[in-house]
Amino acid sequence: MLDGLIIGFQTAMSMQNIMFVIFGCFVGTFIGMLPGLGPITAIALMIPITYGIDPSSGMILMAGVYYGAIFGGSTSSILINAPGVAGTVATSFDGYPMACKGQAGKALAIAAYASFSGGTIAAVFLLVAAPMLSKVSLSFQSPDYFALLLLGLTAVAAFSNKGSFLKSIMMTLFGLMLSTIGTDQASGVERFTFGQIDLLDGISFLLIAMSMFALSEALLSIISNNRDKKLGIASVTTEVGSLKLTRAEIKEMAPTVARSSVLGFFVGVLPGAGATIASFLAYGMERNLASAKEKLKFGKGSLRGLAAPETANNAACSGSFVPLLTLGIPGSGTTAVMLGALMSYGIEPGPRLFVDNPEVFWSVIVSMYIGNVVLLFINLPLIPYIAKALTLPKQLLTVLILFFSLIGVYLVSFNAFDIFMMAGFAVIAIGLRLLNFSMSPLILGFILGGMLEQNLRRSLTLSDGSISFLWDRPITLGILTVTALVLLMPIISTLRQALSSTSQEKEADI
Amino acid sequence: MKISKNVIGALIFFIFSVSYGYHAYQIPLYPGEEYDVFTSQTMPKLYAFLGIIVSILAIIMSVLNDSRTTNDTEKSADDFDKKSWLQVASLIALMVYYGATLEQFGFILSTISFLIFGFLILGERSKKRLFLASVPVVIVFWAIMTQLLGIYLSPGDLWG
Repeated sequence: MLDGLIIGFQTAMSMQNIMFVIFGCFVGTFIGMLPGLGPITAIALMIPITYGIDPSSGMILMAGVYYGAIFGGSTSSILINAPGVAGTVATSFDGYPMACKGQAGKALAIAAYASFSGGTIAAVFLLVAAPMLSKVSLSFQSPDYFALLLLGLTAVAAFSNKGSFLKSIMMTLFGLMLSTIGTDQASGVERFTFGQIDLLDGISFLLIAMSMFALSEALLSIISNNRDKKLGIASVTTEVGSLKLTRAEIKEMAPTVARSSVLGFFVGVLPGAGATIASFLAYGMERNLASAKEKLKFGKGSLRGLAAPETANNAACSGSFVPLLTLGIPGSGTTAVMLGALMSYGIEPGPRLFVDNPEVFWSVIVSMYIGNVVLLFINLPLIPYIAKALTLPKQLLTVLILFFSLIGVYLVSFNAFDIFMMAGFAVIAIGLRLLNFSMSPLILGFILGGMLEQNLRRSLTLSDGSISFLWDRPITLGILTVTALVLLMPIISTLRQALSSTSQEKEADI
Repeated sequence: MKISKNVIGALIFFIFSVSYGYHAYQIPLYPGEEYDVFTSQTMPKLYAFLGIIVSILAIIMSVLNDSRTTNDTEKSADDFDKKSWLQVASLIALMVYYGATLEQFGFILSTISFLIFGFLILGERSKKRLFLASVPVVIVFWAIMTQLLGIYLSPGDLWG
């Protein structure tokens, strides 16, 4: 581990990579701050830039953007009560009331310190957990991978969109279906190309990520901006005030930060759970632990109420890297986009990453520390200036985001057909979002589709066409049992709900 | 009777899955491949089958739930106004225009026009802003790409 850390520090601490982390944190903060645009959009916009640099630097840049976007989301949650990211919704519960009381600076400082602590503690966990898990997963074979991919896809659908499990499954399947477009790698047969030469290579992951996230989010932000203007909400406060915290305040928040870091990390490791669930769980936990008197402060500007979700969401971000780096299975939409980027660099994610590309593996871990330091010591003092971004004319920003998304994809393929496809997918994404479908399962299905097919094909070939590979190895059987449980739980709870309300109705009728 | 968003979504997915499944059966196979355990058709057929099952389940569940709760289609009508939708539709059309003109008119001309039209669609009327947020941005971007990074950007087939 020590050797790995040295490799990581050597790579991440080069002048070029430090600049990438700083740049990433700034860009991430800026984009994350814009309501409606999240870390996935921020990362997707960076991907075309990262194609020109080496994979380690690319991942370092994207990790910086990820952290920055989460921090940017907290800033808009606190200043204008409009979370840029779902993971920072809980931050606005107590952050915005503090800003209303003229304590925006203090709230932002707490958010930054809590994020720093959560991120750092979780990065230490990641440092220990990732190599251990990598070593275990080195013994995995195709059937285990197939089972693991199924678990990843199912768990994301089960956890990512509570209450609409079937919708998430539909989106996963839609992503899987899209992944079959193009020439079949094994047989060379064309599938769903409809005679279009432009579709022979399939649809690029970047195109899907940009149109489903960046374009659709930017276009839908027009509607929400106009609605906000109409309703007169979200008046922008760029007067931040003092960033100082007293010793008593730090003492009050320390146990909260410790608890929320642990909770956030472990929730982040679970596929599909991620920063949003972690932040809400931490907020709920802190509220339950508070005394009756303190409980009354929650929702009105409680320091603990602000520190808990902020710590947990950053810890969860680090946690979500565990399945990505060790198993090659992304735990969230954001890490799915990063996985796609890794694959486009020609790097095979999974347990071999630790062995074959140690510089990528370790530099990502080390860059998380650096990212946290940058956020705390460089971004925080500059927040009053970065916050001015919230007053920039939205009409200019939206069109510029559209331009950068379109040109980002075009510069990779140099094919104008991709721009038409992006417009088409943006329309589909807008429709799906309006029907309350989540995009994360779709991108996950799309990225993992190829791997799923490849591993199933290999497993069936190795077992002479028999499906006995599903139970031959204890690891495969174990993972599939967990998958079945994950799949059955929401179905049973939905059916139980449906049955109980039907019986209640019958009783009411009687 | 109003149909809820959930039913509409599931119905669309059902139709999509059926159509996807139909095309999955049209995927060509090499002679004798039909006897193989795993072919190019296997996964598409499986996805289509699962898609149909899940969408039917979703329709049934939604209908059961909607009979008890009020649907949310009315809310969406209030949420979005005509002007915003017109802007979104115009921007999508503008993206298609950008794709069509990028290689014909060249990067600089088509991008400047894309940005200016985009700003105008979203209500920007200040000539100074229209100019400053388009021409310098495009020229600087073009200079970085072509002069600094050596990336080829189409000068325009019409002028070539």
